[in-house]
Amino acid sequence: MTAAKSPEFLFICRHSAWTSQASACLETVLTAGVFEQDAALILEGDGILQLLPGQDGSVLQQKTLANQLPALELYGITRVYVEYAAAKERGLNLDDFILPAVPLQPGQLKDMIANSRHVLVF
Amino acid sequence: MSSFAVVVQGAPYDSQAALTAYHFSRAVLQSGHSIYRLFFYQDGVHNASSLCTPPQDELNLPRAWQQLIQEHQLDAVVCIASALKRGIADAGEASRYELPVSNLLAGFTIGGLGLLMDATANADRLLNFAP
Repeated sequence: MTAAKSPEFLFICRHSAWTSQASACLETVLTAGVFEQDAALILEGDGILQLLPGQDGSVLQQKTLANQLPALELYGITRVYVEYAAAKERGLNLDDFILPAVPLQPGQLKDMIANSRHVLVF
Repeated sequence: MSSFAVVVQGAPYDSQAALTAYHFSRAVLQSGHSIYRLFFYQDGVHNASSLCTPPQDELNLPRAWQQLIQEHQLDAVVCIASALKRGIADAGEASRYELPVSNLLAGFTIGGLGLLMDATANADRLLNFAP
């Protein structure tokens, strides 16, 4: 997994797991996988909270998004990135995340957005 | 000249997203470009509601979209999952789910995310308007 190559289709999610934006983003990324698109996902800001372990949506009568995230790899989406600054600001350790995610520095984030053919932000 | 796919994720009146998307779309067409598809997603599906009734001195954005769509024969797709979840249904879905009314404005059609993928494959540029 490398941060160097920009995908054709870049998805960015800035919302935590218990939002319609997060579930819509995941649904759209998986659809891109079904259509065999060259796609990657970046979790920015509160979006990186989606990767925390021990989530349980049943308390909120919601689906647990964390249970669906491993499907990304099954759908051919193997490139998941996180905004390094967002993890640092929240005191999170990347090793604790439920998926392997590559941290992006601000310059890498900017380049990836600039070099992707399509960018869809949630 | 370029072709655009326009994604609208904002509801009318809640944020600037939907109104800006509308003005952008009109400007694109006036400039001689084309719109491959309008795709209304998440809260953006409310732009396709026939039941929006703003005060008379305010823009009726769903009707404005409808006029633009009909003037230019645009393909305007409303995400089916987002729409049904938010109470937007065409006659077929209203019948299927035994709903008391249908409220999808004429000119809009209901469709799946595959149509968004198709738009990204065929349009030169994807423009996303989110709150």
